[in-house]
This record gives sequence, structure tokens and C-alpha cells, in this order.
Amino acid sequence: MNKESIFKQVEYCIHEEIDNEHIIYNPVSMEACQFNKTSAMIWELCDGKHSIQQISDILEEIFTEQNGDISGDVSSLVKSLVESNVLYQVDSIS
Amino acid sequence: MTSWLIKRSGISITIHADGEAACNLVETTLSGMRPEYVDAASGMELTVSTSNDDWCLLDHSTDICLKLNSTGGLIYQLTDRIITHLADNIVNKLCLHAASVSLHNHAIIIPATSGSGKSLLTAWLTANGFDFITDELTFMDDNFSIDGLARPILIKRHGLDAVTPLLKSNEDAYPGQHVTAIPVAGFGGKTCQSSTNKLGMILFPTYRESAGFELRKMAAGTDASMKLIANQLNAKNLGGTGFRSMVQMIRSTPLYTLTYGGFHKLPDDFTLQLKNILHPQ
Repeated sequence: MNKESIFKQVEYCIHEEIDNEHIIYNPVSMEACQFNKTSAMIWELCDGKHSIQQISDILEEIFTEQNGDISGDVSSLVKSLVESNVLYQVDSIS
Repeated sequence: MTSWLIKRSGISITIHADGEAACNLVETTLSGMRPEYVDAASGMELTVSTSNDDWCLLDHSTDICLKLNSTGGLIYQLTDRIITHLADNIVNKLCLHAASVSLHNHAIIIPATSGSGKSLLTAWLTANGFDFITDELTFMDDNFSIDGLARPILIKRHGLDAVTPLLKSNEDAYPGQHVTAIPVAGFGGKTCQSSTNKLGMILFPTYRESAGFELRKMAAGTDASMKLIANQLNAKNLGGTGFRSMVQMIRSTPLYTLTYGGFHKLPDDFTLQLKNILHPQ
């Protein structure tokens, strides 16, 4: 994975918001991931059109006062979502 | 040869018993499952027989005959095959790895992984006035109607001391190497006759020897959802419907965690607390 890598949601995964928290469920692997609003935003931006760098840029604009490695945080969340079978890497912008 | 049919949500399992001893044991094992006597088999077939001092359990689909040297072992293996077959094949109800009890047709479901003490808690609740639905496999339909597979309660070896004071008679226990099977009547309880109990509460238990007693309301959030998802058995058969049903359950049902350090730590008004949650004044 590099900053130009692009990811897409597994089509049949389901996203639900419960009490201001988020959960993504893969009904085939029966795996689920829970996360906060920011992570849900990253999930939504993994639409086959935005690269890791573009997603990080969008978050940096929203969270201007946030210090730290936003790009690194995005990469590690995306990596864990791929491992949980709810995202997959695409070769090019769809 | 005597044969019984167990049918749930269109899935059939026929259990045959060859010989008087096998017939008596199978009848006891299936008695809470609303079985029908049948002449012809349908669906999955299992046969119980005896050979010398062993029990034999034949699974017709694999033609493998399992030899067991205890009644408890036979009950465990027989009911495990029934549960696995139902959970693998039911496509119109959610199957949960959960115990359930009911009071006036309002059900408490107790989802928990193996070893969390859900069978012990179920035995205690059954001995204290709640109707037994299941200690292992709970079904829920789209209307949140609760049913289950009422096998004898299976108590692991390390839990036997805890339930012994609840037993009405030692004759009611069927010992095995790893588990002892105890029909619900052994605890002076009874099996719920209704297959349409209204979901009234979800209780997530934790047994910890050093713990006291805490019954705490839980937020309807992702933690509860993840606990429920961890105990689903057939959501893959239901596509997205199973997940959405679980989320809807979480949103609309009172959720509680119970942490306790043994039956002696449960307060005298514990059953009353549960009744008040199921039937608020």
C-alpha cells in the first residue's frame, strides 16, 4: 500500500450507525468492524475514486487543528479494514 | 425401531432409536423439542443404538458411527448434531448461540460464547421460576419472536458443584466424561411450551469467581452489537437481513450485562429485578 493506492468498499457490506457509533458488517465472512465517526468518514471515502493521499488531504482540511500523522492513521485504518474483508484495493479509479 | 421427527423452519431431522435403552434415552433427550413420532424418515437421519456397553450414534449422511461410553456423552453428541444441522440450514430465522428463558411468554436471551457460564445461569433461572427455552440455540424471526431447541441442560464438569444444590434428585443427571446432561425437570423447572415468545431482554453474562454482583444497563451501541454478532450462527444464510435484525434487536430491546461470582452472590430479589425489566410496572 502506498499513498496513491485506491480502495473500494466490498459491495455487499452493510454500514449501520448505532447511537453515534458505526459498524460495518460483511455478511459473507460474518465479520464486523466498529468505529467512530472519523473512521466512518474514511470508510465512506473509500469509494474507488479517492486515493489514500486524497482522503488524508480531505481529513486535514476538516481537522485543521489536528496534530499528528493523519496519512499514517488513514493507512493503518484502511489496512485493518482490508484485513477484515470490508475493503479491497482497486488498480485504478473506477 | 422407534423414530422421531424434529422440524424447525422447514428443516427436518429424523432420529431413530434401536432397542429399549436407546429408545428411553432418546425420548428423554428430545422430550423438550416438540418431537413427532413418525414411520418414515425425512431430512437428516441419525440412529442411536447400543452395542455391548457402548452407545452408538450413526450419522446417515456420513455413515460414520460414533461409539460413546456414557449417557451424557451420547446426549451431547446427539444434540450437537441436531443443533449444527439446524444452524447450518435455517434460512428464514436468525440462529444465535444463546440460552433463553421466558416468563409469561416474554423471553430473556443470554448470548455468550462457550465457557461463559450461560448453562449454569440458565439452570439457576429455570430452578427459580423461569420457563426453559434452550441452553444453546435460540431462534428469532422477523417479528422478534423467540424459540429455541430445548435439549437437556449440559453442565461442564467444573460447573457441577454449583448446580448440585439446585438438583431435585441425582437420578435426573446423565453423566459424561466432559459434560453432565440434566433435563430441566431435574431442576424442578419446566420447558416453555410456546414457540412465539416476545423478546423482552438481552442479558450478557460474565462469571468471575472474584466478582460480587452487578446487573448494569448497557447502551444500545456497537459494543452490544459486536457481542451479538459474535454469537450469530447462520447470518450468512440470511444475507444482510440477519445483521439488520440484530441491529434492530439492539435498538429496541433492554440490554443488560450481568457480572457475578456465583449463585450465592445473586441477591434475593434478582428474579424480581429481571421480572421488572420484562414486565415494567
